[in-house]
This record gives sequence, structure tokens and C-alpha cells, in this order.
Amino acid sequence: MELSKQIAFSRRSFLKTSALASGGMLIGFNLFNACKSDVAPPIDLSKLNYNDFNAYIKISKEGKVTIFSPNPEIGQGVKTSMPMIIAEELDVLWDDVYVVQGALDRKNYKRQVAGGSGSIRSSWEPLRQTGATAKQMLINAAAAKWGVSASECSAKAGVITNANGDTLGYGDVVTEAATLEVPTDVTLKEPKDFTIIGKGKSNVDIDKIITGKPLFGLDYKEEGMLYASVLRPPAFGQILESFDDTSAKNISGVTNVIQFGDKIAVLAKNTWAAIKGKNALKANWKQDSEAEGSKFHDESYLKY
Amino acid sequence: MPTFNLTINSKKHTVEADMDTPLLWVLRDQIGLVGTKYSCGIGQCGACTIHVEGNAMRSCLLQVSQAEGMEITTIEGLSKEGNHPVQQAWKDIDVPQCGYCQSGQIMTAAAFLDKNPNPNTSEIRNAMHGNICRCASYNSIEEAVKVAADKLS
Ligand code: FES
Ligand code: FES
Repeated sequence: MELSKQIAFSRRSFLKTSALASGGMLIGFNLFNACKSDVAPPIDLSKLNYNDFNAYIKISKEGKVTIFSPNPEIGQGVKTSMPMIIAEELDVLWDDVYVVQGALDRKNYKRQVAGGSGSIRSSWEPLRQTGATAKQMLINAAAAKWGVSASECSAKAGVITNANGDTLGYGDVVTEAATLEVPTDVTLKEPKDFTIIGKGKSNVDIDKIITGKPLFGLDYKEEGMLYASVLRPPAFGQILESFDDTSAKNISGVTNVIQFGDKIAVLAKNTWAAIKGKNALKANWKQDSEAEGSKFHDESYLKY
Repeated sequence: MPTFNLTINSKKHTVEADMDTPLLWVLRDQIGLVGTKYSCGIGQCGACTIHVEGNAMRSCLLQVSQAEGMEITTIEGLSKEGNHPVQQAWKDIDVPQCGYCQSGQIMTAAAFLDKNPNPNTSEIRNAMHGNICRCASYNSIEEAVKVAADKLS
């Protein structure tokens, strides 16, 4: 697999900021491993003309940080670890960070998947650069407000301090920061100064998980929606020859049966009717190519 | 369609459903309690575990008609604010990875500890082994059950 480790990026083209109507700052940036760079964002931010970014950070006037990420969380922890990297360089309190999963967008993302342990390896640098750049812009805005040089100011845990000991919170300068030029030469932290990375943070969804709040695709509900259950070929190499859906359609609650490729979907008003409908389908499968077996697996894995 | 009177998390619900509908789908589709998960639908994984009269049971195998008159508890009703000792232990140890299997794990552990508040390791493994975790968070689960047991005693 090609890792995007060596991608050279100019900060100008991978990161852009703008002011939010509600006050605050929006930072758009690109995560190369997941997405095309020249496409629309995962959520409707079109009013902001952010047409070429796929990940976002929002910093509110209250200094709260929301991070939107397109990479799917499947138990590998990216919904927690990727924001940790941003928060580290941005230098905010972890408690002030909210993480929002970007919507599925097949049209605009070429690779909105997880696999190959690549998310952190390929996003590590852009995530750090993004956090550090945003932090520098906030420092620059504070310096301008105080009329001092930015080099005399520093930031930690969401608070900017100058040589006189004056302080400003990120939220106090975020609206001004959004209008500034994006700096191209920011310094990343030394690993010995890390306070979030390597410190082990809890799963960001822990409270939802332990109390059973909706979180997964299956938990999604829309008024009037139908439920589907899909019958697939029982083995690789098999194709659908014919099927009989008479008894499936007789089940109360079943509304429709749809064939797509070698699969058959039963649509119903509730999940149980869809499952019963699927079980009532009579399908004839044909062996079209070699069935999957241990030999097939051994050979496939040897290729990698 | 027949009507059923259910008591779920101490609340009464009247639902219309086919006789053979698993309680799982009544909970999820009709009552909107989606914390109880569907995975295998055939009693093999434990993702759908709930409490029936305090016993851990698989809601994918329990027909709605059998649930009438029973005291049913789902993950949403295990505690008011996620502060059941098992939930807290799960948080202390940061057990969940994707989280999908975890309401089932928590419900199984809570019912188990209710009957055996001082289990040894092999009793814990025995009690939890029917709950499958695709993320393989088994070591954390075992540790969290021990922490929960400490909290309970
Ligand atoms: S869904 Fe009930 S045991 Fe798997
Ligand atoms: S945490 Fe992912 S299946 Fe158990």
C-alpha cells in the first residue's frame, strides 16, 4: 500500500481559516489519506466558500473547540486519537474539545474508510501542522491587540500570555484571528512537551456507549423510513440465477423486494418483517467462479 | 395485530406487534430504545442482552408475547445517569473500543455481579464468555468486572 507519508504540502493550500457568522473561527484543512482535496466538505458549510477541504476545526467565542473528522471510527480509536493530536498542538484543554463525526459522503471522498493502520501514520503531520498553525494565528491576533510582537507571547491550555503577564483566552481573539494571514512557518512542539499525546485519553464517546445512546448507523431513524434486510450469495464465486419472492411479499409489513447485483433486499415497515421476508426468499445460486476456500485465502494473503 | 402491555425500565408501554416479534425489535423500532444492539439475531453474540426479572437474557430470542408481565430492564434503565457501578467501572477502565457490543457486556456483567458480587477470575470468564466483542476488548472487560465487584462490595 502507498502511504502518503512523503506528500509535500504547502500550508497555504492545505489549510484555510475564516470567521464564523456567530463569532469564532473555522479552520478547514485536508487529511490526505481519506479524501480528495478538491471536493466539497462533508457538512454544509457552503456559505463559507470552503469548497476544497475535508476536515474542520471550529473555535467558538467561548474558546470551545469542535473537531470534525471524516475518518470512520471502527474501534481503532481515531475519533479520539486524531483530535488529541490537533488539541496537543493547538494547546487547549482536552475537556474543551468536542469531536463530531463527518457525514458519509461517497461522492466527494475517495477513501472514507479505515484500514491498514494508516490513519495516524499519514495524518500525523497535517494534524499537528493544523493545530500549530491555528495556535500561531491566535497568538498573532492577541499580539496585535496588545500592540506587542508575537514572539513575546506564548500560549498554553487555551490562554495566551505576553511579556507583561497579561492574558487573553483563545475565545477573546478568535474572531480577529480568523481574518489574519495563515502563517507558513510554525514550530511544532517537542515531544517532551506533550501533555495530551501519549497520555491516554478515554474514548470520546464513552458516556454515550455506557448509557446506550444512539451512536451507530443502525440507531439512525427518520420519520417514515423503511427497513431493509439483504440476502447475499452464500459463498464467494456464486451468482444469483433466479429467485421467488412470493412468500416474502405475503409477510405483513413487507413493502417491496429489490434485486441489486447478486443481492436481494427486502424492504419493510419494521426490521422484523424485513428479516422474516429475507428468510422467506427462495433464491437459486449458481457457481460462477471458484468458491472461496483455504487455498484461495492462502494464495490471496501471500500476495501481500 | 395483537397488542402487548410491557413494563420496560419501570415504564408501561402498549405496543402492537406480530406475536413472534423478538423483544429486541420492539425495543429498538417501536419504543426507540436503541441501546440494545442487534448483531447475530440467533442468540450467539450477546449484543442484545437485557434483564428480565433481573436475569440476563437475549432479547433477540425472547418473543414479545413472552415479555408481558415481566420487569424488563435495558441499558438505558440500568441507572439514572450512567452511574451503576458496572457502568462506572467500564468508564474507569475505558473498556469500549467501537462500543457496539458494550451494552450487552454491561448488562451481562451487572446481572452476574448481582448474584455473585465476589467472583474469581474463572467465574468472571465463565459469566462473560458468551458476549462476543469484535474489537476484542476482553482483557479490559475482565478488569472492569473486577473493578465493578470492588465498587459493589
Ligand atoms: S443479537 Fe441476540 S445474541 Fe446476538
Ligand atoms: S467494542 Fe467493538 S465490538 Fe466490542
